[in-house]
Parts: sequence; C-alpha cells; structure tokens
Amino acid sequence: MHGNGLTRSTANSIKRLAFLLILIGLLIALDTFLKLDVIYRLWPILIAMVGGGLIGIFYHGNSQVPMFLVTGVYLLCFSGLALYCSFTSWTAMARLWPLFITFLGVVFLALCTIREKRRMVLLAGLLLISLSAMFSVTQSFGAGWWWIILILVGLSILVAEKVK
Amino acid sequence: MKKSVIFIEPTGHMSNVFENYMHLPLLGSLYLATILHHNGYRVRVINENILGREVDPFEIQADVFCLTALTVSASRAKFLAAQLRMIYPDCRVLIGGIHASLLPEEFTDVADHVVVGEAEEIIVDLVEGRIQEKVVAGRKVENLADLPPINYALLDGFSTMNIVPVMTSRGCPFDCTFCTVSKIFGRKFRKVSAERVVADVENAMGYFSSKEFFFYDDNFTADRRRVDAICDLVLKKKLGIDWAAQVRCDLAENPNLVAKMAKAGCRWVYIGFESIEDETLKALHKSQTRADIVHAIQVFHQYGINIHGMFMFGEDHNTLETIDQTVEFATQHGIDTVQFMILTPFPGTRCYEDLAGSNRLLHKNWDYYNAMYIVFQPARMSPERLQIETYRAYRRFYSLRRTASDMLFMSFNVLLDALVFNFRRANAYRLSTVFIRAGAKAIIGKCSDAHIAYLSYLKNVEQRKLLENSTQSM
Repeated sequence: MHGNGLTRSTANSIKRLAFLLILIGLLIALDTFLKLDVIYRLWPILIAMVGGGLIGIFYHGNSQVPMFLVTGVYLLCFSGLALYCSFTSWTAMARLWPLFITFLGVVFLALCTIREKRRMVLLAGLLLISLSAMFSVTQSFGAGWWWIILILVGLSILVAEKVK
Repeated sequence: MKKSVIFIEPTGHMSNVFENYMHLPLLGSLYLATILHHNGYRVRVINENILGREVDPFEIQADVFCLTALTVSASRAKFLAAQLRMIYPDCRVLIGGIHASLLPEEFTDVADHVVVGEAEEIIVDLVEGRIQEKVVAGRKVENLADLPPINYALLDGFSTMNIVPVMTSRGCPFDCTFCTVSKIFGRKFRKVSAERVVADVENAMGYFSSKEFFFYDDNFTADRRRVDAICDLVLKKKLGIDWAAQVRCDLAENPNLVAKMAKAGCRWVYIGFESIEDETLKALHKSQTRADIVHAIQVFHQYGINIHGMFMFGEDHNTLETIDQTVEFATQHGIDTVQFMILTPFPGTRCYEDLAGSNRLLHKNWDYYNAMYIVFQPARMSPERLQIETYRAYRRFYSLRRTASDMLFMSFNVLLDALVFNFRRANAYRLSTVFIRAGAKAIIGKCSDAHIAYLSYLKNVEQRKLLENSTQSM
C-alpha cells in the first residue's frame, strides 16, 4: 500500500460498491423476468455516475484538480449521447460524431466557468463548438456550407473579447 | 547622473537537487535593488540560476557590482569579484550574503567592502562611498514594513519564473545546531503584518501571470495569529493563489489553522523533519519528536496539503540502517516528495565548530558545502558509504515502479470513489505529486555523475591527507 493518503481503508467505498452491484443485479433480474427490455439499455447511467462522482471529488478536494472536472464533464456529456444511442440506434453515431468535439468544447467552457477563468480557455471552448457545428452543418446541407465556420469563429472571438 | 549598480547572485559550482527543481532569486538582492531604484540609481539583478548560465564579466558594466556569496557559491563569487575588478578597475565591488557574513575575511582581498548581515539600511551609503571600512556591519531591519514592495522587473529574466517568491518575516526563535538562519537574522522573529503580506502578494501579481507563490520565510507559521489573518485576507480578497511555505511540525497542533491554510490555497508545506530518530532530533536541538512528525503528516494530508519532507543524514547517532529506515518511513507515511540531505557544517554554526574542533572536517572546499556531499568524517560509517547510501535513498524513494504503482492505485481509488459518490478522500488525490515525483526522478538521474565525481574527489582528499601526515611525521 502506498502513500498519498490512500493507505486508509477503502472499506466505505467497497461497501457502497457491493450495494450498487446488488442493486444492478436485482434490476437486471427484474428486466429479465418481466421481459421489460429496458434496464440493460440504461448502462450509460453508470458512466454518468462516474462523471458526476469525479465532479464531486473535484469540488470536495481542497486542491480542485482540473483533470477531475475535465474527465467528469466529458463523461457526463458522453453518457448522454450513449443513452440516446442506446434507446435509438448506434448507427446514429455516424452523423452524431461531431458531438465528441462539442463535448471537448463544453469541457473548456466548464473549465473557464469554474476553474481557469481565462479568455484563451473560453476561446478554445467556443472554437471547438464552432468546429463541431460546421461539421454538423456540412454533413446535413453539403460541403458548400463550409463558410459557416468563418462566421462562427468570428463570433467566438467577439464573445471571448467581451468577457473579462 | 546616478550610478549604475548590478547585483549578481552567482550559481553554486556543484549541482544541487534543489537548484534543478526551483529557480528562485534571493530576495535580499531584490530588496536592495528596489531601494536603490527608488533612490534613482540604474539597477539590474542577475541570478545565474535563472539566467541558465554563468555571466560573462565582459557583457556587464556598472559603477558598482554587488555580489551575493552563499557558502556553495563563495568561490564563484570570489572569482567573479576578482575578474570584475581586473576588467573594470574604476568600479567598486561589494560582497554580502550568508557566507560573507560568517567569514568576511575570505573576501577582503577581492572586494572593496564586505557586508556582514542585513544591508538594507546602509546600501545607499555604501554605493555612494560614504562608508570607508572594508568589513561593514549591517544593521537588522527592525521594522520590515519599512522595506518597499519588491520591484521584480529589476531581475533579468523575471518573467520566466513560474513560482513567485515572497518574504514576510526574518529570524527564527529556534536554535538548531546546523542552521545559519538564527546566526544571520537572529532569534527574534521579525515580521510584517497580514495586510502587508497580502499587499506584497498583490504587488507580485502585478509582475507575474503565475498565481503560484512561495513564501521564503524560514518559519512562516511562527506567529499563528498572523497566518490566520493572512488566510482570512486571502479568502476575503479572493486572490485565488496557490502557495507553499516552510513550516514546522508543531503547526499540526492547530488543525483548524491547517484547514484554513488549505482553504486559502496552501498546496505544499516544506518541513525540515531532519530525522526520524528522537536522539538525533534532540542532538540537533530540533525541538520535535518522531511522534510529532507522524502527527504532522497525518494532519497536513487530511486537509489535502502536500508535504515536501527534508531529512538529513550523518549526525553522530545515525547509522546506515537509519538511512534505510528513513526511506521506509517516508514511503510508508506517504510523504509526497523528499529531500535527503547530508548534514553540512556551515561555517558559523555550532555543528561546524564541533566538527572543526574535533578535526573531523574532510576539506574546506566550499563548492561542496551544499548538503549533497559529505564533507566531514561521520561517527558511525565511512564518508563514501554515507555518500553512496544517500544517493541510493533518493533512487529508492523516487523509483519509477513506486510512482507507477501509486498512479495506478490512485486511479483505481478515484474511479471507485467516483462511482459510489464517496467524497471523503477527495483531499487525498493530489495528482501533482505523482508528476513532480516523476520529474524528480529525472533530476536525481542527472546528479549521478556529480556523485561519482565527488567520490573520486574524496579519494584524492584522503590521499593528500595521508601524504601530508606522512610528510609531517618524517
């Protein structure tokens, strides 16, 4: 066992994990016996829980490690997408892939709002969302719509400049 | 036109782990430079560590050169002073600093003035040539609030610093046998008010984009009420700084203050644990015990504050087992980063007097007096063994395997706690520690050549001593 304050027992977490596993087991059993065919589609909620938990650790730690916030926000966003695909079809991912870039942008925006209140971080977030928007638009309406990125980048710069 | 003055802080000749880790200027020079700048002089401060190279005397020109001589940089300071006087015969050379204060006679032939102690109150007179003595006794600044806020822009390359140093007090009420602080600054704890500390931090924030601060004070928390007030002000003003400070174990007796420090942005404490053996701590007059150390580690970690623990080997009670046990102790108690130093008898300290008095000093080559090298005959082991084992202790503590397993273990715990929403240990996850440890490993590796070179230097010293002894007996 090593340092970093991690030598203390993980018993509390392990006990909670045990309860969680029992709960999941019972829910799946219910799903199987009642043929609901719903519960197993909810697996992205586990990812959302990890994401939410990481954000919780970020807030509760004195050091507020940004990596926990970044990973937590990204996992939360991803779990939303995964939940949608789980109830519709995973083939939707073929057109929804720009959302992965949007999520990165959201991460930067969250960082800017909560931790690193810097103009460059805000601009990075807005640019990533603009890029993602351009991919979505050109995918839906054709490559001729590429110019939308110029407008969005311009708007991003203006917004970032306005923020102190 | 007012005179031009250049302050030079020479680098130590031999590499020290700490020098590789943190490039910080000595604030004494910056205070003096600021005072002169306020008086209309043209001033520059050059720190060779920050510059990243040794300064070439031909590239600088001034009416007055002020050099800082620490023990480890004494020979470089002497060399520079001699060169500057030769190249610029009309210039004046002043030397100050800890080593110059303790052994001023070493510098009298290369400098116009050697300043003993604090120079803030006499620097203008010195530069103006109103003081004639060769060795000048400085006066202690009784009210530190009289000093002006530091002008960091006077330091060459100040913008490259990512940690901002601030000094808020001088002197230490303790009297450890190996320490020079009380010899230079006295045992009276002189300090500025909490308001002034925060004003100094805000002043520094005007120069640097970094919000990471290091309080240079040798014992930042000697006055706990003041620290409490500083934390209140930092929180009230929402400065949003991360800071580190040198503290003693006894701070842990006040967990509420530790909690407040953590809340106010204290991320690292630098603690001179020195030894895990009570008899060694007693011999060093450290006024702390092993139990205090264990308690302090628990309290600081409880509030998510990283610990840089400083240990010292070579005291007369120490054996080779002590070194192994210390590494084991540091690992088991989860000290985040460590510095394993070798007891160094700095001139002027009781430790120096004892060792010199019993003829146990191996040499007086100050270049090696930087706590990385053994410079005296230890009581219970050979100097070579102590040198080798200290280096090995570093390698054991900063082993890649340990860092990797810590990383894995922490990741597992973070994921587990996140999944079950257990936030009790949120303070225990200090990622920076792992990265810093990995960096430290690289630095230790870089120092291996210097260790090997020193071992052969020691052999030469021994041979020379044998030769001298045999010549004397003939």
